[in-house]
Amino acid sequence: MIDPTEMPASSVKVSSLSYTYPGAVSALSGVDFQVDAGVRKGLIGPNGAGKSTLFLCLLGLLPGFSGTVRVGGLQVRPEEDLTELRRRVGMVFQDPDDQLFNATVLEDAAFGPLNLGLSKEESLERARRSLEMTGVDADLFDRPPHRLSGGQKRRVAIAGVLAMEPSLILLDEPTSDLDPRGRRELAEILKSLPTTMIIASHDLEFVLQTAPEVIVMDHGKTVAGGAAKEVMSDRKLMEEHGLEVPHSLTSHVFSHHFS
Amino acid sequence: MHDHIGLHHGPEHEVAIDRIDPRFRIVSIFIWVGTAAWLNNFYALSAALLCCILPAAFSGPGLKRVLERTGYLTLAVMPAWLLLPLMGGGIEVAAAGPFKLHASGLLAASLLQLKASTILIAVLGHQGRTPWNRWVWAAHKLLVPARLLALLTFTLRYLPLLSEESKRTYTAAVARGFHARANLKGYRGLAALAGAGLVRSYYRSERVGRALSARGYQGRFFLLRDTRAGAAEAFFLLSSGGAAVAIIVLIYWII
Repeated sequence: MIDPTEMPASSVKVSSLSYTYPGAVSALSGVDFQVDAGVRKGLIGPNGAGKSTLFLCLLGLLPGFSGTVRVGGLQVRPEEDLTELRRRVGMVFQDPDDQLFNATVLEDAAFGPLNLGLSKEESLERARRSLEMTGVDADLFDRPPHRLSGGQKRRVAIAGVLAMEPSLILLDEPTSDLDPRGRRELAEILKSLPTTMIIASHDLEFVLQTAPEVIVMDHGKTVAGGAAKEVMSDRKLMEEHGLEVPHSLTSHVFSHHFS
Repeated sequence: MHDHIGLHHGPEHEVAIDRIDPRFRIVSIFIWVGTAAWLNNFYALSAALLCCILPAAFSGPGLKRVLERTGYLTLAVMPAWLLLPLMGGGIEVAAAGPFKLHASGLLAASLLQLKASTILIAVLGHQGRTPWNRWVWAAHKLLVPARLLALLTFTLRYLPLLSEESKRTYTAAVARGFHARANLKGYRGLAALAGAGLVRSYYRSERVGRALSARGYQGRFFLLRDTRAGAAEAFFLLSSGGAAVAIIVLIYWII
């Protein structure tokens, strides 16, 4: 059910979200947060905090969660038709090989729009545009995905999601397998996009660089949220939840390097 | 270019046969495969083999490579060459102690060789340097179910990845002192590696399934490349089918 007056199309509201995997493994317990339209928000936490599970719930891929998840005015109900949700929410998975499943780069980027019912011509147009946006050379369009470097795969994976023109993009560990240059270039790409984003990452410097706000999760709960610099400077909070203060926020005195 | 497991990817240097719509090449392959399977005449099969060698010589793999692969095939047919001549009755062509070679057995082995070689060369000769996704498109146009083709494309897409993962796993095992010996310990080790690979593939398939769903996949299969058949395709198919029919007519009704 869509209530377009309730929320801007690209905002996210999660209320009391809980999910337990089969086998009674509780992954999320009463998660609450909101992401306003056009905002990039970091999602940080230790391994097992529930970040990936949260993303799967946002995508409607885990039926049986309790609580509510709204993207814009659309409430996520996994048991219903998810076509509209697919238009609105895109996810870049941790391993780009998991989401590059077509014979060539161009075909893969066009895959999403085709599934949404767009014509071949429009799908190809969107695919080319999104590949250009992510800096993929036209020479690579006919290349099979497994012959790309890690950075190239990541760009193509992002392009494949952008081609669907979602109002919300979820990124799960986007900098894994990227070299420093790839990381820098990815940060620039993400900062250039007006789309609402949630960026889950252990790369705290990257989160600091790309997301003005963060949410901290631990043991399936949101434990803190707010301005990224403020939250991530809180040493006690960060260490309590298995994280650490990013180096760039550490006060730079001699003893810092030699203690 | 080929990847390390021999799949074609992209047109390196197009050869003549690549310009023929792959749908027509698939039909032609079936004509020759059907013809080879049906014929049981030595001369007819030899003629069919010659008809298939001609395009193979000018197609992607080149004659040398075609003959190489036919050589490997011969290894697979070798048991037939060793056993069939020793069986059956009829004219004896040679004897060595208790072993007697019979003409009927030799003929049966040669027919088997000819059939297998004709089928292989027919496939190789039509292959050209066409990338595999165009073959999948052609099969889709020839009404092969889309889901079957989707499974095939996913398999082909992930084979190189599985191959690389297997190599990495094996290297890691060797780095920890594993030796793939032909004994129980070696086999057990290899089985453990294979099992681990299977488990990883299962979990990867789950993730791929989620990624497919996240991009709206509903089981429909789309192909972006289109082509139009023309006079060249018509001529190609008529020549191919005509040659097969001519062989059959010549052998069975005239000779």
